[in-house]
Amino acid sequence: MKASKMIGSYYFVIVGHKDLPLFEMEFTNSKDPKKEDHRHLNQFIAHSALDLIDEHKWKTHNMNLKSVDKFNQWFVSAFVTASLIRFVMVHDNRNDDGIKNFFSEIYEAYIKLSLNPFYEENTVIRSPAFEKKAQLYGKKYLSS
Amino acid sequence: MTQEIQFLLDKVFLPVIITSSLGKANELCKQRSVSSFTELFQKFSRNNSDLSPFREEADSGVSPFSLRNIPAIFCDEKTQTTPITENQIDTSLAEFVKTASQNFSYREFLDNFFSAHQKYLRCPEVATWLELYQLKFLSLINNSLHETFWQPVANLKIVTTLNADPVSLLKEHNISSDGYNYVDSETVTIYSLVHDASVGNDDFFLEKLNEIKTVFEKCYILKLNNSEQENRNADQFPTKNLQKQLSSSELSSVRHFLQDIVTKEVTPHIHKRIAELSFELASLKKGVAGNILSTTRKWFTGEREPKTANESKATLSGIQSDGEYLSSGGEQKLRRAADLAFLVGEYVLAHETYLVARRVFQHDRAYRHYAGVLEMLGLCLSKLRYKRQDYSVYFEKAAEAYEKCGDQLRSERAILYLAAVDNAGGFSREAAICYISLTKENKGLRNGPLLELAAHSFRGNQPAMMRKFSLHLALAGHRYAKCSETRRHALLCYLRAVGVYMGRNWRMAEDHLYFSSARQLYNMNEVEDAFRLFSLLLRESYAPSPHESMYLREYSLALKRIASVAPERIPLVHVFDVDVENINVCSSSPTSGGLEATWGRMETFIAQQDTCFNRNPNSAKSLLIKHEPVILNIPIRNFLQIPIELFNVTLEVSLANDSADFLPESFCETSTLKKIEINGREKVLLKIELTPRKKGTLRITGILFTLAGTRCRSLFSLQSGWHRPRHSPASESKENISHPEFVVSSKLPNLHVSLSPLPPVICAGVIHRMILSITNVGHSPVQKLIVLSSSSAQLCLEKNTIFKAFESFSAYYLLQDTQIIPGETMETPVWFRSEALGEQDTYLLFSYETDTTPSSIKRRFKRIHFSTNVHPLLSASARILACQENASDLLLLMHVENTLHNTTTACMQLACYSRGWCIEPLSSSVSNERKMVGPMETLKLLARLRRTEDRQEPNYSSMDWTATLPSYTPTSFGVSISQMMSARDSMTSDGYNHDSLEGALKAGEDHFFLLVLSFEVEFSSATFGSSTAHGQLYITCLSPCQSSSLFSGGETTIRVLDSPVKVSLLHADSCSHDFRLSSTCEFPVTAVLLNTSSQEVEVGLHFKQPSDGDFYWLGKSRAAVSLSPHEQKEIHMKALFPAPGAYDLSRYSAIIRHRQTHEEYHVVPEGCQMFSVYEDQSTMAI
Repeated sequence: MKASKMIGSYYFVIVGHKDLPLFEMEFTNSKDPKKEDHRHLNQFIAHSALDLIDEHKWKTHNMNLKSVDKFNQWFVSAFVTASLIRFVMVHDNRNDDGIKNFFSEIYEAYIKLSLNPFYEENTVIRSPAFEKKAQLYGKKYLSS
Repeated sequence: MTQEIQFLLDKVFLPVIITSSLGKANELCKQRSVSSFTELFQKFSRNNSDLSPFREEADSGVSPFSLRNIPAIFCDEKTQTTPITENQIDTSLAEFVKTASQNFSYREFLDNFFSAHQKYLRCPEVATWLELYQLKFLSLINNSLHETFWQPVANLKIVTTLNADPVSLLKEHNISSDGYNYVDSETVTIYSLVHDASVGNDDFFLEKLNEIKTVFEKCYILKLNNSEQENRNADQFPTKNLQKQLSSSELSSVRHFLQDIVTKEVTPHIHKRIAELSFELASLKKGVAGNILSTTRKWFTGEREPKTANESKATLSGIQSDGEYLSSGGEQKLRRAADLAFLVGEYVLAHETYLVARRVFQHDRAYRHYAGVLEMLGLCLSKLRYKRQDYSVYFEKAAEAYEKCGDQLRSERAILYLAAVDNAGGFSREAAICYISLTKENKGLRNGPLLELAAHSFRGNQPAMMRKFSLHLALAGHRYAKCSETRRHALLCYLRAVGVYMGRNWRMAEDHLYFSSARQLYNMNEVEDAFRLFSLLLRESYAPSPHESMYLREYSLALKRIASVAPERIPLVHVFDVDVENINVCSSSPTSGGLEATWGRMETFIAQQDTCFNRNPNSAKSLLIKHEPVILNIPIRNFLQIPIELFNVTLEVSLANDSADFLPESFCETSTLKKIEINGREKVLLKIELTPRKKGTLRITGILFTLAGTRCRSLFSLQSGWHRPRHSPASESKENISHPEFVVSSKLPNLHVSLSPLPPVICAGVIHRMILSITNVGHSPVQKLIVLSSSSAQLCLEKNTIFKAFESFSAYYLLQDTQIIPGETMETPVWFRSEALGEQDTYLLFSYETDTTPSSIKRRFKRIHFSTNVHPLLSASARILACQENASDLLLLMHVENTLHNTTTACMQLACYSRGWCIEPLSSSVSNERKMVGPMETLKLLARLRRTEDRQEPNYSSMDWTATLPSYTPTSFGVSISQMMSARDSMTSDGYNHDSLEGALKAGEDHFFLLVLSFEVEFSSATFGSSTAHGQLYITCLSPCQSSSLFSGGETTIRVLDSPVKVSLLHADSCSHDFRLSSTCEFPVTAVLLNTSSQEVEVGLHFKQPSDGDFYWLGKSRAAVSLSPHEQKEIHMKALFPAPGAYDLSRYSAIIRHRQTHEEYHVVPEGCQMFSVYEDQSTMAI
């Protein structure tokens, strides 16, 4: 089977209460060193989008807020869980369905993780299993 | 911020007053450091965007607008009123930004940041500056021909009493100014007289005032330097800058003067003018049946100025562009009426008039005029508190219209108006979006203030959008950072932005802001602060290694700059952690080795056992001795991910008590490590030699090293763990910095102890002799030497030492009555014997003290550790029998058993110490070869003990099996036999009554024998390789006649001689056999029969078959052979093994019969002869 190729770049972050990033992952097939140098930009964009996410989350019943912010060529999509944990995706190409599926799968993985008695809520996620799942879902839904 | 912006538009739309200073009027201003009255009055204007005093005003905590509150704009009569180009505006604004940036103070931010890592987001100074920037921008852009706000409404003529005839001056000016464009029916002329009380005469002033009033009806007076109100130092006005120029009373006078003019002349004139214009417009409407649209151009303006080149092009393209109307035309009057109404706050009237004007300009396709009116319509609606969607449409349309006619600046202004209105109306987020929409790539430095305005608008939103605020501040910082003159401003932006990220774990963003701030500081030549920030970044960053190397590079550059600026100062550098708690001190001599825990137990044991032991300060501080070098083991760890190289590493040392008085070289010497390479996250142990030269408390304050060509130092920190937590507020505080201290004592004895080496491999139970050499290399005598041994092996020192055995240690107390003076060496033999097998560690702790030192520290320790490999040994037993051949002789029968599985031992010499006996071979025909004892074999040795004539003194005799070994003499041991016996007594417990033995020896009994068997064993092991061990076995024997009397005390019996024929089986240790190929394993065994007697004997040998599943003998199991004297014969058999396992081959018996005497002996094997059969599975692979 031919490996699917990631188009564009995605930066995914789970943001807990008090704006603490709990889990970060980048999905990209680019090995451009320039992108390495601008990795902080993803954090800037995702962090600044939290203002709009916090505004949007009270306006809809859906957990998936879709695209909430835009900065230059980057879009920011978001998903807010019942416990107000925010999933933020910074991406440079439109892939609403893929991101939606990714969010719902990650949400399920996150629920399972939060049921784990060894995981304390609103702390950094260090579970290798969770990381593996995120990678898997990233490959599955964010590549075309 | 929001409140101030709320009034922004009130500061833009103000009536313009032309100021004409006549005669010597400006001289009065120049005396007060102001060039003209225009400049002086403009300082009081709301529209004042002057940057110079705002810094001081902001410092004083009072808004600068408390002084700038006159609602008028003051211009010189020669002021340029033509519109300026976009490039000019760009240049002007850039200059404005640069000037403002120079005025900013970042010190407070930075100090706050370093000292407490606190967020410091508010900066009123910046908010003020942003408003001034907008004012500046709007003031620059307002000089447009399609608007009438710039047209003056009043002409203020100023004369002073310095002139002799001010009236004629005013008259002359009225005539000469007829040609100025501002002097028309729209402008009201205001006459004023300025009088300086300190210069002129008051009577003269009154006289001239009356004259002016007579001629021009009205005259406003401005009195300066009024003695009654003289109070130059009063703090009525906080503006420091102006206080230097004008006294507070003068400032007050000027303000009242201007307020009078505005309220009594300008505002009424505007109202009057509005009425006139309304009337004119109304009369025009009547004549054209109210259709002003169709008649405007035809009837009232009629004439238009010639088309510009651009306009021609527009016309050609089919779009009628806007033309320039005459100022006397109806359209301009319409616009003027609306503008004047707006100026005086008549927003309803202004709105209605603008609506009419919009229709006119729209019809004329005069887009610039149309856009201007739309802008004003938006402003009117916002003033009339309409909804946002109502007025925002006008601004957006205005921006579009301006863009349509290529006026980007005014398009931008329309959006800026909208943003200002939004901010005032509480729509801060929308305002921020407006500001962001104005930023474009080609705007350069102008983007900075726009992004900063956006950031502040986000912060002013309800709820505050602090995350957007921080992002846009960072972006603004990047814009400012591109210009060298605005770096201060960039730094300020970064420092305010980083406050939002602090403590929230957005590490990359935070690191980026740290790094950018540090670079700005570096470029601003604030190298110290840049260095601190880079240091913070390196220490607390979690960036990947490429970023870290970039940080380190910049850090090194800053370090170099610091060194070049202040070469006498050594900067504090933190690129590695020092584990202070694990700093060790050890002697500079080679390390003792062994486990530190064992040494610790032994030292504690001595402290507990010795009641005289003074607990010294070693427990709190390590002890160093003057002039005695030690090595400090300092563990350091590179906390970076990238390797670092340190050069010329040494210690920074000070004396704790009087450190200021001495140079480090005078009280201690430290060695220098030339180069240390530490990989990322690697721990390294620095070994630095230190020799104290002065008594006192030595403090190690840090490590000195060279990094990137610069000499630096690193302090010790007492943090648990290697890495400091990010943003720990007290990370730099002195409480967390600990300096290891050492007590440097005066001269103490110092022992050098050496022990002659043991062979690497020794045999269990064998006594080895070593020489212990103790030298006092110190400066005072050694007393009370205690040697504590922690070993399963046994040691024996001199006989006169006191020995005490404890549960886990053995202590030897030396030097009870003597001492070792400095320079003296004492040598003493030590006997060593180990019973335990395997690798054995021996710890010898020498504890010694002196009474001559006044210090409370008296006791010192010396450590010796060695390890040896102990192998199992031969075991031997001997019996002495009566000799049948010669009654006077005795026979010695010795059983030597080799318990080793795979090592052959060679017996080389048997020596005997006795009184009146000498040992000799049984037969002279015995070969001179070494007696070999194979693995698990037992050798029987026979020797004859013959009487000698000398029975007075004990003598030594030996029987050799090798020519290489010298005969046994007492000197071969180096000690007397009595000493050896004493050593043996203290070591072994073999069941003999040692007191009796010793007594017997002393009594000169001739029935006592000491036998010494010398042997050689060759060992081969994976760890030690091949080695040869020599050893001696000591066996004590008594002659048979005496043994009974000594031990049993019963009747004397002499046992008969054992069998004359010795039977032994020769075979290998083991064999391997694949039992799958063949169910049984056959293996050859040879039985050797040796007739040791001098008679012919017959031997009947019977190999017994098993009774229960043991191995079988193959071949003749019964054999009868005859042996002539000393003959040896072999019988070959085979053993048949049914299964793998260990078998005892000693399953035979023999009957020996003398041919002559028919005497019979029954021989049975002594002990076991084990043989192993292994399963060979190597063929399975085949």
